[in-house]
Amino acid sequence: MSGAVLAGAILFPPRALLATAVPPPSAGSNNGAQKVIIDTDPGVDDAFALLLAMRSKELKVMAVTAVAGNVPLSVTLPNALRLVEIADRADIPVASGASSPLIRRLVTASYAHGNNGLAGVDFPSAPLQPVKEPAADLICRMVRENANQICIIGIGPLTNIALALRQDPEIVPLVNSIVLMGGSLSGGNVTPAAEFNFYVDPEAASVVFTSGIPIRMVGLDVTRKVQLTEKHVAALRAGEGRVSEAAARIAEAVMSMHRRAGSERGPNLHDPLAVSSLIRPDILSFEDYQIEIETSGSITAGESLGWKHAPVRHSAPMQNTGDLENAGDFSFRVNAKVATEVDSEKFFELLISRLTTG
Amino acid sequence: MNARPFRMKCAIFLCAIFSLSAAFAQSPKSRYVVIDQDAMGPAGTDMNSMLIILQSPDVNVLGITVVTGDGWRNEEVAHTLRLLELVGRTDIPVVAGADAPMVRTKQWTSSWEQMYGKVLYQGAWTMPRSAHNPEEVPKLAEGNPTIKAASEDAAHFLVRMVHKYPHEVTIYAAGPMTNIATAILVDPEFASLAQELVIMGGSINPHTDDPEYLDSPRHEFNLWFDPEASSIMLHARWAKISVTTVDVSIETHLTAEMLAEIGRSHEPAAQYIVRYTRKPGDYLWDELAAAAWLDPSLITRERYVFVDVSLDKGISYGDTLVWTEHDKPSISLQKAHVQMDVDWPKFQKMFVQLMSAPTPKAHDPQMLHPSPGESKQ
Repeated sequence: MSGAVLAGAILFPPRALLATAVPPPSAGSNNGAQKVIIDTDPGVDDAFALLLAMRSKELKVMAVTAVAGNVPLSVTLPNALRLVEIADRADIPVASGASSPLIRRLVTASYAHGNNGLAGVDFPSAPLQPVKEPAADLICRMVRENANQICIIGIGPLTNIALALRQDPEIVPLVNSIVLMGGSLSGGNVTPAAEFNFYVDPEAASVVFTSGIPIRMVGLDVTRKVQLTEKHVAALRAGEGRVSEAAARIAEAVMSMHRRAGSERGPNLHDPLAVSSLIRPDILSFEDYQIEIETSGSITAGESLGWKHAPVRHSAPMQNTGDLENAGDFSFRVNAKVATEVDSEKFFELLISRLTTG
Repeated sequence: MNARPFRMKCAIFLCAIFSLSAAFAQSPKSRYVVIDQDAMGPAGTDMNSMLIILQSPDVNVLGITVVTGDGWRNEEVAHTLRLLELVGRTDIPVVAGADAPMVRTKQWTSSWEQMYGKVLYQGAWTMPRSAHNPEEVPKLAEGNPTIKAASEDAAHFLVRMVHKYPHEVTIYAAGPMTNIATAILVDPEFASLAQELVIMGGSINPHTDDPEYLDSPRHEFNLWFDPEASSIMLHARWAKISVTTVDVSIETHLTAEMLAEIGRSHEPAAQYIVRYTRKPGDYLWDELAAAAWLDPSLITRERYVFVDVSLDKGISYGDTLVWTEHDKPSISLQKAHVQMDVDWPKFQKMFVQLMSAPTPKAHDPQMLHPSPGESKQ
């Protein structure tokens, strides 16, 4: 962050100050292992993200919480259980979360993930059961039991996380940080304005960004630069063990879905990129932004907008309304670090090595 | 209600014990309620409405959940705990809930006001109530409490109570609806497991010169402060919804005569009200919602319509919306009993009677300290 920007920034709520001051969570003092809760809607790229996290010693996965998003909760929850089982990590509790966004109807992306969320690959159902505790309760409890130690990784719509922050507002200062896949400062994917996760639950995204918790946003700006190729699929296929095999099957299936749809390019691996930033801090570089989420537009809801400095202008006032120009609050408040650059090669190196070597 | 013979016996028994209003004979069985309030005290509509319920002998208050609204949550929790100490009902749990609306923020609202005009009353965001920081509990005029709030959060408490007594608990909500909506999000069964929902909120077409409503008749604070929560609440599947609107509340005032009459009683509730009512004349917003739940015959006219809240972020954001079957959009809403007129003399009489009486089930009520404001801590 440049000195000029810092001088112009009015940093509050107070936690926003921390957003610029805390080191990357992976550099924490937890004997190297960062405690994380992964909130997810598996989901093809979620599957890769979960497998990557569970195979990385730098992360201690405390729990996986499922949310409706890419596909309905009735599919994301069993998928989360399957993936935990495939990684031989039955020690990780899996909790069931929200079946719909806070105040909107659920929109899914089964067109991109297949009806079963895993590009149609049929894994036997896992012999595991979810814990009884609902996702938001589990998040609140674990954050309280591990004050200032847990990074919440949100790679689906942010409904569960927003609900946790609303049902128990006292946990806000106890969350170490949130790393999320979502948003974009360069156009959306589900609409020209909005990235899917924020589009599905813009209100939840807004709750998270106004919470004051230090946020790292990994959005389409970088995730659209990490694309799965046949070369990566072959590397996964060459690996050994169940994780490698499962990843290869999903990768092959999603590549052929893309080919059938007439696309020559593979899918973007959005979610594992967000996870990778906690394992290898040099894959992504971040810049400070004030992020706001559009919750009101009739065609732009879920759009994320980032300001780099004051004045933080909103839409020009209508002629029959007051004069915002003279009375508005344009002060600048950093509330997130946004990933702006990615080293794609390093990312795939990490992903494939973790998924293929036991 | 199907009154079985056993209940009838109970009714006769209760009437014999409590020589209060005959209206109570209509509800012979002890009724369960959770009070959800933005409890800004001392006295005033939030606290007085709790007293209406606490002073009623056949009501079982399972707990009081608190939400930021008229004041900041932490201060409101303290006012509530202190009230329970004063009337000797420290057995009732007080549970802290939401400290802010779900989506609306003060900063965003300030920008909105630049575009669409001032919102005259904004509760905790209005000076001088916002003079201290949200977490701080200032020195209270009625004395600070020594008892503490429960450790559970409001939403989970609400959910737990309707599961404990399925279809028997009334949810009485007279602040912003954040806690109620959060309970619905925590457990989608919550609303259908409650007996009914009673709220003070909404405004349709009030006949008044009050500047807060004169030119914005569909604006009412409780539903406006957290519009998303209000809408979530009104879309849930309640067995019954009763709404006390501005339309009917403005027919009621806490008059100097009523205060004088209550002042003749030396019971703790009476002394509390008389001592801390800043000035006579306030509307009996939440008190009417509570009283009409106890005695529905207080309401002389109601509309049975669909109610929602505008989530359009433009000029109507947070306004009360009303439809009949003929013009309702195709959304899942249930009809609500919307109160429009009250039998004011009857309500006055009931209010004075209840507030002058000893507090039922009281244990070790604390007398007001000779010099109010002196904390026992």
